[in-house]
Amino acid sequence: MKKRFMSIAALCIICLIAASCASQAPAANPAPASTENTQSAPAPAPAGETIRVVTYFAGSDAWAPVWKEVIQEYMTANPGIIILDESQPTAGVNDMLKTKVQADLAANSPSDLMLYYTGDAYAETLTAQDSYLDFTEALSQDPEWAAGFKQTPLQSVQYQGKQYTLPYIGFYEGLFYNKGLFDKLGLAEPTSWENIINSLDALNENGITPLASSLAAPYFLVENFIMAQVGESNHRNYFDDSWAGALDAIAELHSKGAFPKDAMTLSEDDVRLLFSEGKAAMMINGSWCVDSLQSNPDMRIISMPTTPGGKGGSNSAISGFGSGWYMTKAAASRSGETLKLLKYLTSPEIMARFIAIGGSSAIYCEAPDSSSNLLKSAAVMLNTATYIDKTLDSQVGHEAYEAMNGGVQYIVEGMKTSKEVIEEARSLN
Amino acid sequence: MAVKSSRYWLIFISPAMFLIAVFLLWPLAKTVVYSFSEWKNFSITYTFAGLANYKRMAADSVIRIALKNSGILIIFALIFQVGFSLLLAILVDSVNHLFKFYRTVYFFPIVISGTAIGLMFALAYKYEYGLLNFFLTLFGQEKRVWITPKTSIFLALIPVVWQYVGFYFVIFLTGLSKIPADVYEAAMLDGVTPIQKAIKITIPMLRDTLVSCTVLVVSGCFRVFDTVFIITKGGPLDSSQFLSTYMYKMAFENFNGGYASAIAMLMIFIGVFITVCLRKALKAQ
Repeated sequence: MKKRFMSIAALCIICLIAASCASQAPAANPAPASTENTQSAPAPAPAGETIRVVTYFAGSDAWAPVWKEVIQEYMTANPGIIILDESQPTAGVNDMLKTKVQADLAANSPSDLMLYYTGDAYAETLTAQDSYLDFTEALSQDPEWAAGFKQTPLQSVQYQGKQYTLPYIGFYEGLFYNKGLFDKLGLAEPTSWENIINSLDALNENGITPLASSLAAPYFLVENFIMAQVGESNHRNYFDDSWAGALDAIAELHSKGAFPKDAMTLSEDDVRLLFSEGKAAMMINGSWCVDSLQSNPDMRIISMPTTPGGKGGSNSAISGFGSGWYMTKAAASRSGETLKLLKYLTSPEIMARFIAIGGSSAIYCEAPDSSSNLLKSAAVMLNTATYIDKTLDSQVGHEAYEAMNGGVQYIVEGMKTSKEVIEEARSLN
Repeated sequence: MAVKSSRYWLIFISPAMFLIAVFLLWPLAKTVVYSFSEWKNFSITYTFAGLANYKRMAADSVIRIALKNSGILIIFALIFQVGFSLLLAILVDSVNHLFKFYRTVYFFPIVISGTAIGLMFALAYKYEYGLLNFFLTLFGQEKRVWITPKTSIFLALIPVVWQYVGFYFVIFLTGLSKIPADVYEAAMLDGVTPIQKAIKITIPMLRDTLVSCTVLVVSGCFRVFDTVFIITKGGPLDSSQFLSTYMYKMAFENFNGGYASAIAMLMIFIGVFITVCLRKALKAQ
């Protein structure tokens, strides 16, 4: 009996040793489409590794289904790798991605890989903790991978000469409109401020909301009206008095019944729903909406027309690479798996699958079929504009940006003047 | 004898003390420090700003709105969460049938998360696709905007108050079960009416439970966040802001951790002050 017990115990110990040896074996399965440079391989990867990834491909985001497919395929091809998808939605009144990333930073527990906003304001926050990798060395060690990136977007997201982020999907914003509704009511297309004003009564009389927009989160509205008001001359002259005209133009539209009746509390999801269902004739939004709209041949996008006394309009557009991949130094030093995953995600094959949904690519890849009227109008908008700049939220301080956007409700209700709001935002910048 | 020695109590108490120190005292101390600092974007660096955040708070009109809303919530909570749940408890305690059914039904909302309840009411209040406007149009009425600067606070408070009625209802039921039956029997022999029974016997004998519930309700009013945040986000025009929602806005939307910390300090101060005052006042009576 004693001998039998000893034999079982010895067997258990052998099994435990064998199991621990097996867990130290390196990963055997390569990632699909990997372009990893074996000469610069970092520390050997353990057989099992969990990689935390946060993106905005969540909720109602158009790219979310592709994202889920892509990471599932990667995990299937790499059995030892678990991708912990911590993606958060950005659509809606509340941007959960920002909240999650800020909370992770405060807890000193950032995700290994992150698709997050670019621009000096964000880079300043992210690099303050010295947690994120400068990709310069990794790119130089893998020229084939580096050559895949378009140089202009790559350079445009640099911060203080360092490549903390790799650009991915580009965006554009503008005034979407439903040409079919304007034609049906015999109205001129909203290509000028006068046309917009002249269409308001007719649209309202026919039970159509002229301009679907939320005043609870008027970010796209304010961004595009400022561009239409100041154009190239003062777009980078942050919170200049000339910006007040843009906010006054929003107030004028509000007083003439251009917005939904519940604009003060409307969510971004409802804004899109109103427009896509034909209950609203116009909407100010971005390229992330294109996928859900392009099946309708009546949809068009143009730059917000010049507001009264403005200098912008069709000569200017909001576009850029407002988000990019960040990777922590901790993930880089742990193993080469996170970088391998990033190379997979930034490969031309994967990029093409995302671009087929919408947006523009920072990586050279097969162009998707862009035959819809909406995509054609977007191309015209970007080609016509002589001045293109990225959004203001990546250029100015968060508190100032929120103060300006939050002030819109007070302006339309006559509780504050546009100059007071601009002045308050300027003092916080 | 050995257990009473200082070594043992230190060993037993140290895990709890460690957890309290790490998750309560240290964050509290950091909040105090941040409230006197200019700390933005959750940066690792912050600079001493003296009383700047507190001065800004004194001049901030939204803080006044938040305090007014907290006052409204306290009044509503005392009326409905304490008053109405006491009434429900007395009524249910006196029924002979379906006692368990009523107890379950009234307690049920407390097991649903505040976020889910908030979402449910937010969907009901929507203008274009909302449940309330669906019924209005069903009866040939015009749709209306439910959440306005004048109505937002009350519409946000309905689910907040409703959710906790069941919680205090169960506490009162437990209190009622502790009242000796012979007191009621003696009163019955004296020909007491049901209303007299409630006012002259039940409520005085529930005094300790009432004090506890009142303190819980009032202190709980300063922790309200999830339901209001989901329904109105503090808007429109900041009309339904509470200190908690405004603190969240400052911390996670405006990324001003210093000012958010100062608001947190105000919440702590008011919460402790009111609780202590309330306890003293009710104890003195």
